[in-house]
Amino acid sequence: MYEFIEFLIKNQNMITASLSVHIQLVVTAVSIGALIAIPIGVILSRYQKVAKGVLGFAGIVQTIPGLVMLGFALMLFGIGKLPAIVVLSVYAILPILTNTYVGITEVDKHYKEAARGIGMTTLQILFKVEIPIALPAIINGIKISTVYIISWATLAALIGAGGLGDLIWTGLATTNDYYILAGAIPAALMAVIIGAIITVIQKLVTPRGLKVRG
Amino acid sequence: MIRFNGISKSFGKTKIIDNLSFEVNEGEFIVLIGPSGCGKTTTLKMINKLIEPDGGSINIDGTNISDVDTVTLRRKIGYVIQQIGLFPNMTVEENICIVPKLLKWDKEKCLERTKELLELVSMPYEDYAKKYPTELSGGQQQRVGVLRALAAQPPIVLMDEPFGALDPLTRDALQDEVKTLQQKLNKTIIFVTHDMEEALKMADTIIFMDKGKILQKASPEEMLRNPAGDIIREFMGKHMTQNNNQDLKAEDFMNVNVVKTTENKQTLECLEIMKRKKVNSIIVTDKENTFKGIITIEDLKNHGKVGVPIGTMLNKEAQLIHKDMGAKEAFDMLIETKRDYLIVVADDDKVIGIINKTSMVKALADALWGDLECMNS
Ligand SMILES: Nc1ncnc2c1ncn2[C@@H]1O[C@H](COP(=O)(O)OP(=O)(O)OP(=O)(O)O)[C@@H](O)[C@H]1O
Ligand SMILES: [Mg+2]
Repeated sequence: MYEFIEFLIKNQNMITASLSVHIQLVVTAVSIGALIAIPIGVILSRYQKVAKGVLGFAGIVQTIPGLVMLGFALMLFGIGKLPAIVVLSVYAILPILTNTYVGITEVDKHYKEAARGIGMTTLQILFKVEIPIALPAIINGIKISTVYIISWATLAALIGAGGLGDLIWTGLATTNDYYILAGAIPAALMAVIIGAIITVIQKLVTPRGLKVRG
Repeated sequence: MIRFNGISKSFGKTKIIDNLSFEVNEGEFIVLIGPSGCGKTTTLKMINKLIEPDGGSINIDGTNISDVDTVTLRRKIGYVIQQIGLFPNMTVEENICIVPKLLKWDKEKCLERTKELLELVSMPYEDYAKKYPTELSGGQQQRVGVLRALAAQPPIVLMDEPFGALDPLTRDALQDEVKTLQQKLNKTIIFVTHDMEEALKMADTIIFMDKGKILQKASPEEMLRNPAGDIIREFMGKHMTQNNNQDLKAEDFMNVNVVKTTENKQTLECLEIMKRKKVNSIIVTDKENTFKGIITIEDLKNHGKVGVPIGTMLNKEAQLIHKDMGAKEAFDMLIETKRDYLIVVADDDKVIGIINKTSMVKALADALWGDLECMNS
């Protein structure tokens, strides 16, 4: 234990640097994923027939092992952060996409009808009624994606993107447990803390009226 | 004025609305009633273009609504639905002001309007404006639903079973409120229900629909008296067999809150009573409560002199009926004599109550659907 703490102190700079790269990777990937997934989810909610196909396809992509994806990305984009971000973004899409789609399609049809009946345009209905009501579900999707990408991002080190994965892989290669722990523990803590932060944000942006009954 | 000209609508192969034509006058309270699936909601939704007819046309004030921009049209027509129509992500205030905001009213005007409306239904702004729909009772939610429909002062309001989910007491109170608001604001209201009691109470004109057609369009009194067909009769008399209303007598459904006075009273006192009780005629009796005559506001205007007791100018034109008279007979007499009310007397002409159209309709409804509340209220 004492030795481990000594190790941490000695490698302080390297660990914080890895952590910050890791956070950058996750935030960038989830942001890109959300920017792609939310609009597509909204559009899919208008075309339910197409939606089944698209969501099915996204589900299949999701099951491709991360290493295989990274391999493809390596071939296409070479080594570094770019291929890692591309791959992680692709993985970030699905949970946000499904939650956006489900959240919007599950907005009670009576709300939509009332909105139409009192003279809101399609866009007004989307931004004033559908998205606000679906917002908790969408944020939940972002939370799932984030937690998930935090762990996938450790793989990104394999193609030279850095992050906490660097420590873990170094540890595995040299059978040095301290390295492994120095990478794994911050990653786990990060998942818990960021998850909690998003939960707080979710509570803050959800109007009281949507909290009472689900 | 709203006019349906030969409107038809099919969903798939089934004809839902079949060559429907009718008119609604300005300021009229129309109730659409009929069995489930007869096309009431469909008819209503064609007015704000939520549903497009296959054939025929709908005119509002002479303009075919298919020539009017849909969004503009809808903002001029209030719309209240039974189901959770209030947006759960918005406060009471935001819900009420949604149409005025769409119409780009400025903030102060919106605020003023919200306050004014909440006051109408005795929900003070300070207590309710910032609440969310889930924090209100069902009755309060429905009140806000009605206010939202009225917010931008639309001349026409559509209501689709707005009170269906409420308990009888709340429903009764809201019916009164809506009826009062309608009269005060002179709105044209088209109201859908499947509750005949509600229809009788609220409507100026009832339209009874069945299988996409109009079976009867008539005033509540007329529909009660001459239902055009068995379905309507059945609708009005769901519980008829439970009540032995053959034996119902005038005495059983008269209103006992009679505005009366004695013959030694003077003109001014009489006018005072009329003003206070909001009536335009008073029944006059002697000290033993024996009928002497009535006096109307016209009588007082034409013949009244300060200091002269009203006994000298009594009007004998009133219609007396005995307390044991049968309900049907009394009803027919009220319609035929075209009087505002009949005076119910016991033996020796002692005045014990009156029967007017309100007490009649209420009594009949109670007889048909069971005595929900005290009749003599
Ligand atoms: N969008 C739709 N697609 C297919 N059929 C429909 C649609 N809307 C209504 N219908 C059918 O049209 C008929 C009339 O429906 P409508 O909602 O007008 O009835 P209603 O008189 O309002 O009945 P209720 O009292 O039950 O509300 C019903 O048989 C219903 O199933
Ligand atoms: Mg209906």
